[in-house]
Amino acid sequence: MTAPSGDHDVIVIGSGAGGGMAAWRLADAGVKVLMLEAGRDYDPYTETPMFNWGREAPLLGGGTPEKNFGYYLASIGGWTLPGEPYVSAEGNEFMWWRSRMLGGRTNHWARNSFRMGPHDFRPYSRDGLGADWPVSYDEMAPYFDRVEKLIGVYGANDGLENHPDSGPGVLHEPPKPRINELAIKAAANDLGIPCVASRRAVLTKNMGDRQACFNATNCGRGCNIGAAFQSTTSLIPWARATGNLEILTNAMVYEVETDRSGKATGVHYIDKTSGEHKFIAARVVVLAASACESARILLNSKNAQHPDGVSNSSGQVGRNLMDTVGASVGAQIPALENRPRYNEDGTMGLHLYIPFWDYQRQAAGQLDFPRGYHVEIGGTFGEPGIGMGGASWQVDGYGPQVKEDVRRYYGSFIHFSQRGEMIPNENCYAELDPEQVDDYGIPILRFHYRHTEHEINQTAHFQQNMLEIIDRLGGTPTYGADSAPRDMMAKGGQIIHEVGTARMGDDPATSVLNASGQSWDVPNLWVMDGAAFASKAHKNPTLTIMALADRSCDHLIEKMRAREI
Amino acid sequence: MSYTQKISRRTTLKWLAGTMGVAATAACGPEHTSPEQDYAERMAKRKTLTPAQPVSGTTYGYDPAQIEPVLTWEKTMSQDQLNVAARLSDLILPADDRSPAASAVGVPDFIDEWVSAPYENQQYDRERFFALFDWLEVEAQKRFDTGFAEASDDQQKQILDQIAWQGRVGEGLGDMAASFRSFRNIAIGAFFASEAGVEDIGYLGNKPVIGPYPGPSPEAIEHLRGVLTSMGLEMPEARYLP
Repeated sequence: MTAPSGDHDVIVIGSGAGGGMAAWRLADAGVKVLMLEAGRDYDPYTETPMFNWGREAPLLGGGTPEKNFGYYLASIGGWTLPGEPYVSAEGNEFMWWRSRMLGGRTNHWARNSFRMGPHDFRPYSRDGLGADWPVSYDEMAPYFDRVEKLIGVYGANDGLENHPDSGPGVLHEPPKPRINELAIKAAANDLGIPCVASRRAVLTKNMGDRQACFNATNCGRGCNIGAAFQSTTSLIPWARATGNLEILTNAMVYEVETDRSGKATGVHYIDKTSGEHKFIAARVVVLAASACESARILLNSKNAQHPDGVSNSSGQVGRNLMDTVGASVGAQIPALENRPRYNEDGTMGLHLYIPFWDYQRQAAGQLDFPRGYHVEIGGTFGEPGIGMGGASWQVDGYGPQVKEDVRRYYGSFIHFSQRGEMIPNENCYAELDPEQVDDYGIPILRFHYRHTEHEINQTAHFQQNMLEIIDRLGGTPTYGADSAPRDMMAKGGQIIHEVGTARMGDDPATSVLNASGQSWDVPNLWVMDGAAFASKAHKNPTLTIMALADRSCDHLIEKMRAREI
Repeated sequence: MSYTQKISRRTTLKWLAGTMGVAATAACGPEHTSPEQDYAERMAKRKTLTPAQPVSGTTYGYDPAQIEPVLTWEKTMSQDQLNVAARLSDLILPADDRSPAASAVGVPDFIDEWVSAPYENQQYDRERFFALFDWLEVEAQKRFDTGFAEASDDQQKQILDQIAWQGRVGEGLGDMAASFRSFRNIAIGAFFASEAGVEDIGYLGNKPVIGPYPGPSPEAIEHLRGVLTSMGLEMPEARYLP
């Protein structure tokens, strides 16, 4: 790490979806940017274990407390990080995922890129719960088009309610579905449930230096051909190429400094390699450290003028914490046993998915839950490993029959994952723990998290409908059938879509940011990550983080040019 | 008046040892075998499995080498334990016309790697697997006067039959049956993850397919068509098919 030149206008904190987008948009517009990343430098071109087999890694590459989703996941960190604890209040449980590396979680995310729709930006107007966004879908649509085109998203325009079509020529061709996806689609369609092409940020045609997906190796490892979008093979190198971006890694920001006029003057960070505390000044500060880390930095930025933390006159920093509602159901399908083998890797993720379909009955008050969900489906001839996709647990005894049975059951399993909208509630928030600090001396977060009937009833609807699909295929559930909905729901943070902790709104009394992502209290402080979300639609947040950051940058650049900031 | 001990403890032990020595010498005479003696002789011949080395090394950390992974802990199983693990793996996954037996592709080594890993889950399996190995050994000695690894196929199967089959688990052997299932699960995974196992199961991925993903093969589509027809389901529209 070299010392920053000091020749910057804007500090961007974080290098993932929001930070990457902010850095590229600003640098491209001629703004000098200094990016501070708490993790280490990371180069997917030299560090991605493309084509490594599971057997080449310890424990066949399976998960451990240090690598929650397996040895090869491109994540340095996870639900725990050495020296950086967090806690949940008694009777609560929240799991906070952090990836301490350049590019953050964009290096390993599932690349699912579902577009928020008109209902999603006006949830309060639709059902009287939560909060509306200060922007509408119509205002956001051009940004979604722009971001989808920029990062490359495959999918199809199916004209479904609240699942907007993309502009002409925006989407890449979706990959052909696999057998189990087709079987699920046939059964779902028969029951009146749609099942359509998924949308993922994976190229299926070449784009500049980034190559089309060659249908192999898990996207979670990162992608050294640039097919699966991550900021480290796109936004960050593009921003660097402008000559306007400097990057400081191992720089953990913990406080935004403000002056008497109420403006941000710069940030305090710890150089993790030397342990030194440093201050660096800037004209503008952009927070994109991830929803909870950005909230933590604001809450830690206490001074006489801001006793509850900078930009927190509304008291909403850390509040409105939401994560996607998640639950899973799985089944074994006898009719799919011994099916003909072929290469099912494809793009390694969803080719088809089930979008929420019950909006009409929901609007008519015929459902006992107000918000939708989508279902991520699957079941493939995956790389053999522990569990064999479920086959290992179907065998009995020992002897020649064991091999025969594993061969027979391999590829005969299907699974469904609910990804649902959660409504913000007063029991879900992050605050500073009054006593504990991390190894760097920074006060840590304490989480509070409770689901309500809205989420529980939604899970019940998911469970019931998926069991009907399984039944239609003559299958036997292997998990998720006998659990009470409340007991099968993922813990807060477990789906890794946490958002809402510095929400945008129309009213400074109830929101932290205005519609541009600019702090109501501190005009040269902007937030461009999931913290800005006013609601948590069932759609995976990354695409929206980037579209919002793109839009925020338009406004920020305009204000900087007009010398308003 | 109370009795005062006259013999020191050291003397008592010597005396007892002397008596036993005499008795043992007498019992060694060829003419004087007894059931107790038979038992003692059999017991003397019995061995127990040499225990494993203690776990050593470290976990691989939060940022392990990705391109060329390294094992950061030592394997710890004794030769005796490896012998039992090998027999057990091969009983579960014997050679057939499609692939070799589990031990031929190194499944016991993987078991060793697994139980030697300094992670909580693996340490839990370590205790259970070692208890399973010891139980198999004790059973073999008790029933057949031989070690499990050295017993005949038939003898090994008689022992395994007490714990291996659902609904036919011997009384009080529930824990052993559960440990066996876990062992079998790991052995199956390790076997099919090997090169020979991948070929056996017919996994055809992990190789680049340039150009659009072609989707299922004609045979796979025909098979699906049959499946859906039998269920009265319609095949998805043409645009979803290859």
